[in-house]
Amino acid sequence: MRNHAIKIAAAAGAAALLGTLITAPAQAADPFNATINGQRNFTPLVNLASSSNLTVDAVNLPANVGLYALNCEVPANPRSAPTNCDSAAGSLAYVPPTPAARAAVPLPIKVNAEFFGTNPNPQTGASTYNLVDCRKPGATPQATTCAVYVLGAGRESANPTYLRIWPTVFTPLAKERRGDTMTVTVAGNVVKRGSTASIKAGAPTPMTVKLASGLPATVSSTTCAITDTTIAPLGDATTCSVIMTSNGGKNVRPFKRVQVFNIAR
Amino acid sequence: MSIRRPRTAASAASMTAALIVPAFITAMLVGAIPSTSVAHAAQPATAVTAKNSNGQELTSSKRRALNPNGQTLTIRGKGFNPTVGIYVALCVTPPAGQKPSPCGGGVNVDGSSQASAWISSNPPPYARNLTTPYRPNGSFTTRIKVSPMIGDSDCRTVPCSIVARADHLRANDRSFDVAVPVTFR
Repeated sequence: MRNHAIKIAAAAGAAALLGTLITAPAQAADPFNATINGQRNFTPLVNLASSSNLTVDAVNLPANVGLYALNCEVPANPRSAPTNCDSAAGSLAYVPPTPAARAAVPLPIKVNAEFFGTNPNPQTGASTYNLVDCRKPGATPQATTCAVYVLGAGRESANPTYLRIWPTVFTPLAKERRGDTMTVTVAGNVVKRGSTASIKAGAPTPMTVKLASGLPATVSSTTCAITDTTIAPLGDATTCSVIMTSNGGKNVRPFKRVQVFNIAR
Repeated sequence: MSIRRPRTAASAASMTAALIVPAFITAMLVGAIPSTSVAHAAQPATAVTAKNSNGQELTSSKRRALNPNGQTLTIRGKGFNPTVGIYVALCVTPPAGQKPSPCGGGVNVDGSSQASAWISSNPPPYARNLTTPYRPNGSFTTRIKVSPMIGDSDCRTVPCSIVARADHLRANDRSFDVAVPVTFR
């Protein structure tokens, strides 16, 4: 693993050097391009650790074009759009469009071997949070299960000019991993797993979510507003469902908890 | 990480062949103007409000003779569902019932004075610093800065509107569309 870390560090260093070299103002005619840790489009990223911090370096990004970078399960039909992607904070990078062109834009992302996938464009607002294991063999010997995608945002999302794909290959697990535990505290009280807690409508209620492993938890909800420290009901709903996940790591298995809150009015 | 020229390149090449990715992440506004929108005079002298059939209202602080060198507008919304995020932006006005395109995009990190705004109280985890939350009753106030050019489209020669619509998490949901027609000098 140390060897892998060294390789990643070396690659990151190369990317940093590249970043230095490309900070000169871009010529208008220079085409858009993106690399990840210095690797060109379609170059497989191999020997990745369970959770790898990589940087997409985009160059010559035109005005009014935004970008996404995220790790997704490659769809059965690789020509179709991926619908199972890691959208946890830090794992999906979004660079909003700006009125001026940009010579160089870094998009750091954490690429995880496992994640609870969501559809980045669900159309109906619903997400399933299916566990994706990128270590599994792909559908064919030539395919990988996951890939990092870069693509334009908004009206540029279907523009192949901005599409980049890097298949990902993770190192196998060396040992059995332990399970994780989560402590959810609402208004100072620990909420037991499987129980239904209550929160009041109106003002936000203090809430903390911590994993015994120390790994970060991703907390999301469609019917409650979530911040790092609070939860607040939205609209007229009588219950609020909160999805709490962790992508795990080399020593800890992924974790998912669905916590339902009754809303007192 | 190391580099290899592996078998996976074959599948990569097959992906290259098409490179047609549907619009599956639409962070900027590409929506539809509802045929039910009706613009009418509002309380402030130059403000105008549009309302859709679901009772959602969108008010622009100014409607006519917008500054072609850049006009900052205060946009107020009312009656929206706080569980459904929306985009607010300047778009070319499409035929009734069709998606407006193109639209001015660009949500900056601090949410100030750009060509569009993302209003959401429950954004995805990656976007929590990009959105403006609703007030509890589903109202909001934001400011956007618009200019007449949306890509190659010139709002001085084609009709344009300030539009609200459900964000990319409900891109096909037309029930939140509201449009305020605007003109530039």
